[in-house]
Amino acid sequence: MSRAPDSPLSSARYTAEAALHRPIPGWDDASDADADASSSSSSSSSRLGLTMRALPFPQAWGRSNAAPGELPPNFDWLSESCGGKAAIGVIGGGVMGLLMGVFMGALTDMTPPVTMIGGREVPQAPLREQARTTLRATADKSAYWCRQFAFITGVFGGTECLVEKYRGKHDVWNAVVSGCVTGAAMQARQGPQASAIGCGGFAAFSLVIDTVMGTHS
Amino acid sequence: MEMYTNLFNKMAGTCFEKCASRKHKESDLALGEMSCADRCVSKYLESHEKVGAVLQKANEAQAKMQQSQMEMQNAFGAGR
Repeated sequence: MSRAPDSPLSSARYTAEAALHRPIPGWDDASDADADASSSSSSSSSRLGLTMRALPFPQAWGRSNAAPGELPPNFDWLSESCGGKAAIGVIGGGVMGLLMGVFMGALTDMTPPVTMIGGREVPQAPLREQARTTLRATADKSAYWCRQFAFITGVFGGTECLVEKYRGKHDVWNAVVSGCVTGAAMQARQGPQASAIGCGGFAAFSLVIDTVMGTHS
Repeated sequence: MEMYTNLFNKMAGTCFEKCASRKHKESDLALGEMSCADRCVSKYLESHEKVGAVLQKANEAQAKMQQSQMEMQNAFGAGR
């Protein structure tokens, strides 16, 4: 194990010798040759002939330190499957909903319904109680918007993926159909008429947004 | 080998015409175009196989007919 094996993986250089900080070929020779170069420079430096690949520990795949045959990690299973797209939509939508809820909750008006009793002002609760109430309201709003946005984004993304895979075409009508499905699903609890209205509304909204933003053509 | 090259070229041309959109917003194939390409390739290869099988049967039938014709001619010629 005195010499690194001929493997395309950069982690193959993590030998027992390297771990014990024995002299590494190409490392100490270069620093001996350029004595005045800073010894702490460990990133790619063509002048010293040191590269990221010469570091004696495993490194993540990067364009500068990949072997010639190594491919980047393959995330197609995540980005090309409809389940993956729906999951990403749920998570992304949830985060957006949390932010939206925090924003909305901070703007909540917390004045009580009764402010004057018999000509005198109602005394306000101490600051700590007020802060706690506001915080709880914000948390509730955040949870609500998180649920709503996660549902909308997840259903929209998943159905758009399914429709596009089925049709085999890449244009704006995929978003229209999936917008209809999402709108109908949102209003499913209120009955078929509300579902129909939701479908039409969300489909029209989706058509406008995708035509204006030009995501497809 | 020439047949495979020909097949690949024709298949690539046909499926690109059918599936890829002419307006290029990004370099990768979109999801719909990918599923269209998958279906196009599988249909093309299947039809290629079937046509090849039918053609081979027709060739065999024709070869048999030619052979029986030649035998008849030989028998005719020998009998004269």
